[in-house]
Amino acid sequence: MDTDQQDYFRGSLSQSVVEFFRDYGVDCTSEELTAAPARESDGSEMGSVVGFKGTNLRGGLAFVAPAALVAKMLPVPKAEEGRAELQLRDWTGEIANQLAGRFKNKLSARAFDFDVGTAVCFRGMSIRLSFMPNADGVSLSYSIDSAGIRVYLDCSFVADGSPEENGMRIVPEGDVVIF
Amino acid sequence: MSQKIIVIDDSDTVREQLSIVLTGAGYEIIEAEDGLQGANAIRDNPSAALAICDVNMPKLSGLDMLELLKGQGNSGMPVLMLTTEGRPDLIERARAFGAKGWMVKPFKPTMLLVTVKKLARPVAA
Repeated sequence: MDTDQQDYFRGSLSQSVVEFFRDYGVDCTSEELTAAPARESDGSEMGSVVGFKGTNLRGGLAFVAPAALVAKMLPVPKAEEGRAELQLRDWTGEIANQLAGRFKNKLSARAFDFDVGTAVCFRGMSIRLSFMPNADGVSLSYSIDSAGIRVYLDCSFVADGSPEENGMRIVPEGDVVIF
Repeated sequence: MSQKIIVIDDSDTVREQLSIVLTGAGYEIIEAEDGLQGANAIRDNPSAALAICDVNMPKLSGLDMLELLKGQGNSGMPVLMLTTEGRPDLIERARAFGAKGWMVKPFKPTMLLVTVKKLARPVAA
């Protein structure tokens, strides 16, 4: 993957992270994102990972955050005790799904396309993720330090040449098209 | 009598989000967790005003559900797709299969209600 492509992936992911978390009440600018994973937290955390596969790339996106923050980001009232964990699980998966969706929409303008799989959710204490070496792709991580949020992307790239902008007009998040 | 809206999404949270906004505006909600359940709900509730449907779901995707319903002669129920996808080729596919609109998540409640009001078919006299 050449430098231009890496920059494009980096920019697309950072924009996706900033825009998504801003929509759910966690303010951050691209300049405030740190490239390195956040320092270890000492509390309960949860996260989700979703795989994606397309003609010219494949990989996975993972999201980790303090459990309390994930609960705070819920766009619906917190469920009663018996259902609360299932609700958090579902919402955590939806976070990875929407992050991957935003990332996908941004990459579509460069003729990258992929199908997003089903998110797998997990819980733990002081979750730390690190990448295995990736010879033919890109590994990125972004952290919103103030909130303890980390987003990881690991992606292998298979393509002929450098995809150019294809002029595809993606409908932005929150917009509607009436037929 | 309240107008019925069918909400089809594999995420409990998204279905609940939609339900809160729509019931707050006076609609009655019927939920489905995937495209198969969604197709059944549309067939079983022909008087519903609108269906709101995700695209990426297990068992049967939203676009495949639309194609299935078109092949079976859909009752004419308007369908609004609600999804993370924003690609024009997918939008065109939905339009060709009879959907009436496409909204990209996350939705704004005000925008959703305006769109629903525009697309929902009126209550039969």
